[in-house]
Amino acid sequence: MTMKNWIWLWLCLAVRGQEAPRPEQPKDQTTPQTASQSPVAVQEPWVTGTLDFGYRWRTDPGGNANMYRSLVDLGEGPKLLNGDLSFIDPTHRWFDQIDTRTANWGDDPYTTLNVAIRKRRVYDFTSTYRNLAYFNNIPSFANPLLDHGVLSSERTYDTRSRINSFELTLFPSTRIVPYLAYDRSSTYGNGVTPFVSDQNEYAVPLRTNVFNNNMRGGVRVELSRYHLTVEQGGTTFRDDQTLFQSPGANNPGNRDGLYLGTSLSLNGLSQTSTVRGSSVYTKVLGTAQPTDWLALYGQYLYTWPQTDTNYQQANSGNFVLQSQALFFTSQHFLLTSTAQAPHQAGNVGAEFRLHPRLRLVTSWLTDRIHVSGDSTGQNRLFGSSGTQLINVGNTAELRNDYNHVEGEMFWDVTRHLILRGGYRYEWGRTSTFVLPPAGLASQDIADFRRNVIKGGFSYRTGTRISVSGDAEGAGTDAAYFRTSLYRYQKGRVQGSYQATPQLTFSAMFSALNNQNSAPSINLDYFGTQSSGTVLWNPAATKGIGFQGTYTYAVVRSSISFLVPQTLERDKSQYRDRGHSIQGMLDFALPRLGAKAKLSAGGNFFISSGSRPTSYFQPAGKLIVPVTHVAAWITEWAYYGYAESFYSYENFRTHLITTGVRITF
Amino acid sequence: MHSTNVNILLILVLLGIVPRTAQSATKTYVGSDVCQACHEDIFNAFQKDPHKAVDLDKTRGRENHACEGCHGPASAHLETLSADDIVNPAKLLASRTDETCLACHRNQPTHAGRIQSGHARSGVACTSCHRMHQTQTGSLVARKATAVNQECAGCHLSVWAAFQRPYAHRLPQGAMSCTDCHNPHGSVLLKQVRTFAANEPGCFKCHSDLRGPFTFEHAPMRTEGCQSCHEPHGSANPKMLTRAEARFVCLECHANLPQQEAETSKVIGVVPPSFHDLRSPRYRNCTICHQKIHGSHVDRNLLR
Repeated sequence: MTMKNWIWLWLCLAVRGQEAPRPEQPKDQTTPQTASQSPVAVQEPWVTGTLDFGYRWRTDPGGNANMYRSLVDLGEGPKLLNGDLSFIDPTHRWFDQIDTRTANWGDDPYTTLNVAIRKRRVYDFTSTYRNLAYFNNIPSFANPLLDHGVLSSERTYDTRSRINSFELTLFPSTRIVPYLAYDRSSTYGNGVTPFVSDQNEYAVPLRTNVFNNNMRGGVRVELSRYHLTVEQGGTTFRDDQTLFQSPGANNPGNRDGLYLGTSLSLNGLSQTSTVRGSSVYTKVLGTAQPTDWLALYGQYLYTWPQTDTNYQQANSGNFVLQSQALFFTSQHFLLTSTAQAPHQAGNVGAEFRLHPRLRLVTSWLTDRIHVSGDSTGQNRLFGSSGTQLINVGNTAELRNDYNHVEGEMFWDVTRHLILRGGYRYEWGRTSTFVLPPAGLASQDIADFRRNVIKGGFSYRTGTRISVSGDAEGAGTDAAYFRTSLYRYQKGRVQGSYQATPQLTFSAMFSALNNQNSAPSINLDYFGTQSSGTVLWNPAATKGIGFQGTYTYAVVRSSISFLVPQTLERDKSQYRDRGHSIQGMLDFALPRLGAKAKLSAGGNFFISSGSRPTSYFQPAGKLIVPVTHVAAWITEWAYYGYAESFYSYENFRTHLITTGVRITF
Repeated sequence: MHSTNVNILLILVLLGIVPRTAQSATKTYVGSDVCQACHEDIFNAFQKDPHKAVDLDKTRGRENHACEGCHGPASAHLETLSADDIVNPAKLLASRTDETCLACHRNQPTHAGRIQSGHARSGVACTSCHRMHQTQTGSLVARKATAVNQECAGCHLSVWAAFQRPYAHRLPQGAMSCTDCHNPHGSVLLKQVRTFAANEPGCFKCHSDLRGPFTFEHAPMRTEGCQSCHEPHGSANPKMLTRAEARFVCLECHANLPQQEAETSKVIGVVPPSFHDLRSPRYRNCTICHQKIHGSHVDRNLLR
């Protein structure tokens, strides 16, 4: 049965649920109701919730329509906007309750459906379905044709991803809880991507098909003081990609001009890459509380994914192999490769309650992965000077080990105040090589060590005042990358104050300072985020409510780098100062009905710095009850995007949606 | 002699052997039905609550103790009717509240890595997100994506603001929720990122084509993860990159000469060959050619 049929069935059930429920005929009406039976459930309707559906109109996007699709992509037409329905089986025969939540059906770019079915002490079943559109066609500033007014991107996608998850948990007893789960994701669609041949690259059509299946099952053993979870799972994976260009077409590629007096071009291409993969994985998790003052915890996670690839490429045109100064007119390239990555991780921890007010939490973690791969193939080049066969073979490896030990002490100073402080040592090593050596980057190895001191506090008086903060500082003499955290300090302070039950203020501030003063690096990074929010929700009779948040985020980064063509040192400077405002003001409209409401607000973002951008999304919504089960809903939304440096990306559009909300 | 006694007392305290309180010994369980007499509205609503199952749990001797399972024995409260004589987990220290909940829930799979969890460390108690008596929906915690996001955004204000930027995962639209990527109870991964297939980053659940393993790996994918190059919550830069132009994302790491390794503590990433002339637009967007930047099954330079 297709997903659409399921939706029809679901809608029919909802409509059926609107009919007056037939009163349940108790088998024995003289039986007194016991305290453990619900006096509420049997009186409730067997379907409750809301269903929103309507029609959306959209003005033609002003400016760049491809950018509109890349960022928003909402279209016109009839829509099932929102559904939130619960079904109750008064007899509790097959289930107690079914909860369904769904949104954005009708060719919207993000469609979701969640179903949860449960029968108390028998089973729990949950499922999720998502259908996400991914359209990406952002004009590339690196496009050589941009100066000629060609705004197309050389890497575009128009794909859809479908993601399904199902999980069934059984309760045969209160101590043994088995569960089964299945996840499936698929991505398919078209796009454009460059076919790269030495010294030139040619934008060509792309077809992609990716599937991933993930099955897992396990059992939880829940004793009073000891718990154990054992899970075994496996995945299968498929990734098929095709690049093509019909024979006879002349694609000049991105090279502007001749190469050694010869024009390079692509006249025909068929490139297919088929990847098949699988993995098995195991998860063992245990906890124990042997005494009141000690809790133990540990887990071991192991997975072994592997992939096999077949790659075929046939292309014709005029090409060059720069390393041998060889021109050729066609190429057949066949390659097979394999890769595997045994990956294990584990941690153990303990929580010692040394004193009613003092706790010590310690843990150790390790995460180790070892990726190894081989490829072999034959590359045949056909040219005026004959055929040349190049055998290709590589062995590659990447190892990464990460470990840390950590200890942190928590002191409950008073009923309201907790202080904490601790130390973490992290260390690891990563190494990578590709054989036979070629170029500059055939082998790399780097170590990583870091000493981290951290502390924090939290202060809370009931529900009125809450303040927490933490700080962390670290020093090291070894990091994996130039941009990695090196000598850094970071901190965060967060608080909320409930002035009245209807009025709450919250604020937070965080900062990160990271420095690496090695002469060839000179990394200087500083970022802060400051936010403040107001939640005002007076009594319903006041008829007004407001929630608003303002955030100011700053990133200031500077680092040395080498200009490839000259090897001269230069500075990469990045600045981003972003202001975000989100707000929504609600007005009750009692003259239009008890639940009539007008909401106005939206999201507004504006930034300056390396990529000055503004992105405004004001919105308004009106709900007017028509009958006791139906309400008229109308929404207006505007999307406006503007770039200072890349003004050809700008767009703006209005969306108006009107429809009905049915309340069951 | 005096100092010996102090030492013994100190050791006993450290071992947790000193009785903490004798108060609980005098309290007894009275049963959920007794609670109903005064707290009828809560009791009635509780009939739809998942914790109602505790009242039926004969195995662990909790039968008819659903209320007192969290609030403790109520005999003293029954006599005095004082709020001081009953435990209110919502008003306890976070660690105490968590102890109450974890007495039963310690081993649920979602709790993996709890000890390292930021929420546990920062004193965010279970009841901050799970509202025990909110039974309107039959669920103690937000389930709908928009409701989950609203819950998280209540504290993580600046993170939520990042999602309002133009390039972001589609959380504001309700297509995803914070808990799709993060496990609020903890994880073996940093930032409480969910795992996929036991110990891989949860990003691969949706972006399965980037999981590999690849014959030719790009090291940051395995060492520092997606956030080496991407702002996972949202960015003003296309592809949620950390820099406005892709070339700077790459060149900030790929800027070491091989002979500089000693000076730069052997950081990974050498400068590209000199034909990468940045004056030409062709070379300003590295991923136009190095399109398999996350890893390649075919080409050591990640070209195809």
